[in-house]
Amino acid sequence: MKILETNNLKKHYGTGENVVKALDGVNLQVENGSFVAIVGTSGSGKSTLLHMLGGLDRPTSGSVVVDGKDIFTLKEEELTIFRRRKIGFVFQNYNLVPVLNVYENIVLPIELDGNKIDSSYVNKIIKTLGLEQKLQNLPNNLSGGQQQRVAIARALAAKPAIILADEPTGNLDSKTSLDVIGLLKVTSKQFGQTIVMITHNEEIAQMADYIIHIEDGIIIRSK
Amino acid sequence: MLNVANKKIIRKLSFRSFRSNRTRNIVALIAIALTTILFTSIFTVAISMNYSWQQQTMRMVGGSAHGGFKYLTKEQVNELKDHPLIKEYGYSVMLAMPMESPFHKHHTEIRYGNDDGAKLFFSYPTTGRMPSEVKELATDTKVLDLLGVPHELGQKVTFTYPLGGKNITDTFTLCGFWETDETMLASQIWLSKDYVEEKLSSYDKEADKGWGSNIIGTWSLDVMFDNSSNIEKNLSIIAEDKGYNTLDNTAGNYLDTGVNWAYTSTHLNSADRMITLLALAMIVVLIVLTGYLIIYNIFQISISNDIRFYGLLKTIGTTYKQLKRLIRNQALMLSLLGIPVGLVIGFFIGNTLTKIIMSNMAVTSTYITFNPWIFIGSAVFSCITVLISTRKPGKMAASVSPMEAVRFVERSIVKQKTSRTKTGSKVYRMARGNLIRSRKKTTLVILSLSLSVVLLSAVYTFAKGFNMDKFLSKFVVSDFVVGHADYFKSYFRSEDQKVTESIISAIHEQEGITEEGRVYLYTDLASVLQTKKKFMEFYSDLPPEHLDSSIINKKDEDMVEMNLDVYGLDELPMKHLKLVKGSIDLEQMNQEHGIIQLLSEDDYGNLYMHESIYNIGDKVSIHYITDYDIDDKGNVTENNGFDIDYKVVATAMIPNNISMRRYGSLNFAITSDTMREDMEIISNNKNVFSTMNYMINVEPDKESNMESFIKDYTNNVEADINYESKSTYTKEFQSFQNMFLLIGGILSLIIGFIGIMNFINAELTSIMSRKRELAMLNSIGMTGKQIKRMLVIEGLFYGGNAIVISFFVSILVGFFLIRQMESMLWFFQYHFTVIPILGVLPIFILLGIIIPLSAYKATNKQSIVERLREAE
Repeated sequence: MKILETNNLKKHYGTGENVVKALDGVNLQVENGSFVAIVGTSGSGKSTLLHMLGGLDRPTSGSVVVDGKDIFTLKEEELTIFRRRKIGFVFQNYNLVPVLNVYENIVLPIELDGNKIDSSYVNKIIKTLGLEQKLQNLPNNLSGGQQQRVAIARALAAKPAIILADEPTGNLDSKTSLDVIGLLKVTSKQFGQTIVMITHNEEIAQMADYIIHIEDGIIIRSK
Repeated sequence: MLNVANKKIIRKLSFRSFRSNRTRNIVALIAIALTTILFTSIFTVAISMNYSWQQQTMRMVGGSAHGGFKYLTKEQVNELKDHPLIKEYGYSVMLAMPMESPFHKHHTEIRYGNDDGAKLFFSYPTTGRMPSEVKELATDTKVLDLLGVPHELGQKVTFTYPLGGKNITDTFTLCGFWETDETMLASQIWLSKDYVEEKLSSYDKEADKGWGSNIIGTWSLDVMFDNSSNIEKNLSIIAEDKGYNTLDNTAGNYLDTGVNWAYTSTHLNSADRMITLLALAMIVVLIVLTGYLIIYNIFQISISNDIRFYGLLKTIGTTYKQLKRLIRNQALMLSLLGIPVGLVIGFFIGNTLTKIIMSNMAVTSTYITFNPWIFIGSAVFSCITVLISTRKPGKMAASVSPMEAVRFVERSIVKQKTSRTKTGSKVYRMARGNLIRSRKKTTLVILSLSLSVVLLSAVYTFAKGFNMDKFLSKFVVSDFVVGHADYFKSYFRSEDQKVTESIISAIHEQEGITEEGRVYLYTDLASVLQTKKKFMEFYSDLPPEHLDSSIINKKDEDMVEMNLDVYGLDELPMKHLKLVKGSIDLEQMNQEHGIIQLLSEDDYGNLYMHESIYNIGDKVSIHYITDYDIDDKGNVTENNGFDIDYKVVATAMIPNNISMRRYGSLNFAITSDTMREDMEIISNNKNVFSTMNYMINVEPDKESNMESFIKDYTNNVEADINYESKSTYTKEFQSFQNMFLLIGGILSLIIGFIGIMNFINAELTSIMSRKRELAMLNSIGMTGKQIKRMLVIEGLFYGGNAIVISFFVSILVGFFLIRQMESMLWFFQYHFTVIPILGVLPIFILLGIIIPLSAYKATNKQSIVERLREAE
């Protein structure tokens, strides 16, 4: 079953001679439960693609279908709600809310949705990611790797259809990077999550089930 | 779409991010508190003044009840008092109104009344209690002083009162007293029910023909309703429900009612009320604007700085509505802290201002009111201001696109002209660029600063426009005017109120008098016959329904009687008449039996020409009536009268402060010699004219000596006599002027303070958010000195622009608004002035230097590397 699908996705910036084709017709399918890495050089369009997949930015043309729903047919407010229910984000700079502690950060998307917290599920995530001792800490008091683990926990907690990770190891040293990706992979398997990850690091990419190479806004090969 | 459960997390987020914004919170708190102070003090002044007037009127009327029934029997009181419309009631019965010494000096009433009755009369003991034993008594300190009784419970009080034609002397024990309120015209002596009822049981009402006998032994029921509207209607409903009527006083079931006019007369007439409300509305708008300029700016700046945070929240699924609520929650939390502080401080400032205003308005006591509407109104208006001010910043935070959040730089798109100067200072250009890059913020700060300067300048121009010469020339014709205290209250009517010969000779003996003269007034009845046409002409400014209907129905050429007053003037007052037509020559007037027709004028010096009904050379035959009877209805039966003929030699205006000080009758003046001669003929050994006032001019250096002599004499020797001097008016004028300066000054000061807060906040946040940029400049070789210079130029730019804008706006306001006051206030004259702006200039320059420097100093404690690193 396909959880994520793009059809001829294009994103152009500027007009006339200055037009920059960040994405120029991307067709992509991701199976439910798989771990996909998108690899490309800087400026290849991989970040733009991820923003489109997450509904953060609107495409010039084409569509993105998540869990059977064409997300750009949604209004802004509906899209925000769709995002917090169906998509989990993990960013390079973690993007934790500095004024909330670790636990509060993890359950924030659930609370924003006004849902009851499934504590056994959340506790399992916390345990898997080894964050039990840090729950009361504020993000600033954690190391980079710990912060990224909190971000992963937050992405998983809402039981989204798909997790989008944007250079999740960009700010981490190589040992921590491998640990974090390992955890990401393990948890996704354990909780049946689909993960789409952007990276420019081949070694990290190798850990994924599939690798998609993108250059100048189009997919050049995938395996 | 959204359910309620997520409100909790939004509250938590609001609260947490609220706590992390300390500097902003302090500034915003002060801003909100100041805005509330402005609202509260304005509302306190408005409501307290209205309340004080009402209280004062109530005390003059003698009670706070909405209304009441008079001349009742005890049975009728019991019958009426339980009517469902009545919320509260008090009753009392009158035993006597003693007039003999020592009560001749102060109107005193002896009654029995219940506690609520005493409270409604403002006459409830603050020490002790109301009488319960037969021979107990409660009264106020003024009565105790009159009777020479110390203010102590248990004292014996003995006095005499009249009842049924006899005098009764009795001794009572003081069981309660209270401080006299000087505004009250009458005092109460409360006695016990048993005593009063026993005395009244033997009282023969029919036999008593003494003063006030109609009220002795009758009961009054004073009532309070739910509110003060429809008092008259409610009273008649109660009466009708119990089988009485309040309209037909010939019917047997008639009840006399009274409405407390404190509740009606203090309500301004609709035109005045419109103007007052309009002025109040303008001030409220001004305050909202002031508050908006700063609170908006604070939130706009704070949200711009935190925009990444909001973008992040958006990315992980916080909706537009949730973000808006988050900002609103923070605004409300700030209000929750700031508004109460503002309410308390504002209330104190407001009450102080009220006292100052009231003392300028001949109101003797200010009554403080804790009217809840002051606080509700101020809190609501402050809250509205906060919500209006944070709406747009809230929208900005809420509609941030998650993508933009990552890249956001505070900037409005400005087309910048590329200019290259060979000599221009780079530092200056950088400073200018920095300001232009957040043009909106800069504009708001400048506007906020300008607002206070414009207001200050307007108030100053207004208060300084009060023209003392214009004011004095209206009121002062001589250095001193001496007269009976009643004369100055526009109440001169009889011989008793004359200026005594003793004070005149005492003053006459003083040194330095250059001129003196008397104004006499004929104090009995006098009239002339005139055609109805002339009569109507004279009273043409009165609405016809105010005139006697028997005259209205007459034909134009029918003769009617017109009442009149005749002045006798010495040379000095004669000199001060403003001649309109004819000529004034004392010799000639004495010879020809000449008379001057007097006109009055309005505040602007425009003569009421319709009062001129005689031509020069006309003959006037005045009918003096020296012996007459007046019946209940005011009809005069003449016993003895004289006709004396005069020739009109001039038409002139008499200055208000040597005239009778009242309007509405035909006025003539003759020389004092003529008056003495004529009165000799008609008086029949009766005094029919008296010295109404005595005016003197003194050598300039003797003025203060004379003032202290007259002041001392009228205070200690003849206390009934009063005086007015040039310096009385000068003082009155100055305190009036100072009142405006003070109130306007305080208002400008608070608004100015808000402006400066705005400035500080803008500078501080701009330097904070540019911390890294400044560190970068520092690292590539811009010296601390150069950076400081750049920042100071930015600071001066704010102050300089505020001054320039204020200057032009002040000119416009002065010319188009304040100058218009000339037609509304007769003693106002517009003068262009820039003094307030020049006064503010050094303050702004100083602030423009100090604020950026101290803000920079605060950030500069860390090393360059730390600062460079921190921003990530």
